[in-house]
Amino acid sequence: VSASLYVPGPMSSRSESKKTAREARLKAEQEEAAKNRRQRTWALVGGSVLLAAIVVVVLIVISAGGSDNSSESGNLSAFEGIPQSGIELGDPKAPVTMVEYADLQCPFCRKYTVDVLPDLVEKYVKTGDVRMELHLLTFIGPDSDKLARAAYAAGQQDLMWQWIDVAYARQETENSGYATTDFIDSVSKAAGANVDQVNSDSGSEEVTKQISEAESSAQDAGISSTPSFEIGPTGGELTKLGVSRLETSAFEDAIDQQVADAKK
Amino acid sequence: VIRSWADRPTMVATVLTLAGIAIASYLTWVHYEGISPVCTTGGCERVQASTYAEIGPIPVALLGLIGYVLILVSLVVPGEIGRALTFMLTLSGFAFSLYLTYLEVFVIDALCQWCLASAVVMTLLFVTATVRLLRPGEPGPPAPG
Repeated sequence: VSASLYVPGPMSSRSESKKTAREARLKAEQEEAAKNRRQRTWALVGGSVLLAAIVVVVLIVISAGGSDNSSESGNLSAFEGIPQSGIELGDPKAPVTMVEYADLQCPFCRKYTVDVLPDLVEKYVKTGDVRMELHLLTFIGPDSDKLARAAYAAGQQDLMWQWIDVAYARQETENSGYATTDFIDSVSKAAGANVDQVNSDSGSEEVTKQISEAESSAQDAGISSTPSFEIGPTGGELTKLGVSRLETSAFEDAIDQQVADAKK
Repeated sequence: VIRSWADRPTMVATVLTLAGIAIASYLTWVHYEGISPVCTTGGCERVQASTYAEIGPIPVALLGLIGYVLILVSLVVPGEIGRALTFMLTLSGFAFSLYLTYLEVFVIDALCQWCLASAVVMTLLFVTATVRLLRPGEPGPPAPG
């Protein structure tokens, strides 16, 4: 009996069946539209993901491509065949002197040594135009003192520049306690220094004197951050060398000028 | 018109983007001035001095600032295209932040609180943008008809 209710019988008027058909069609259209919207959204999501993937891959490739030009063993060949004595690098009679104040734990000092120093050595020190001095400060923490002492001790073997080069290449986070005896020994070894001699000279009076001298001359020069640089005629008055960026090009103009003045 | 884009996810995204702009501006300024950022994690300078702090000639901090500004612009682009644009930008930012955080932890071996803060903001932005794209507008425009 009840089944007859669901069968469109002769009782249902023409207009009623028309209405039902229209509603069904409308519903189907709405469903179709919703489906299209969903498809459109997912297409946009897919496109966005693809685009984002491209952007990120490109960025990472460029980022990883600009790799550090330092290796664990430093850049020792840069100092080959260049006269060296204590904290000095280059021909003692070079007309221009460039002084650096650095802390071996300071990341920007590392950046300078890795990115800029080899270029300057090649262009100005090897040619006999510039001699360099390195004064090590110990303001960051106790490890700075340990490292500076070992570097000065290596200087007694005329290997300070190799020593700091390797120490920077292996630099870790400031005051993380990385400057252990093992660390210092391995740096000495890689720099080609006599390991035991470095250890015994680290505590010497001469090294202690060098540390306090570096501190007082930094104070006299009004140095408040590292790395800081001074430049001037050898034996004459030095002036502060301010650089906007730790890149070779930022140093070249000032050094060229000094060399030209000194050669006049 | 205001109402149609100023729904809740958009408002959240706008606030987050402004926070991101503030962080990235600070880091960009610090980069160009060559000064040390305020740092409680102890590794900011190390991260800043690393080779990864620049992409070609562009400091990563500036790249972040540009990214956040683009996201802010995308937030006012109407419709689904605008929401997809925000989604794409925040997904890129999120993925790149993951890469940078990986570098900090495993390669540079130092953490920079500002960089981490930006990574967190970018992650939240990505989540918000995803919600905004897949479940657009709470009240929504009234259905036509």
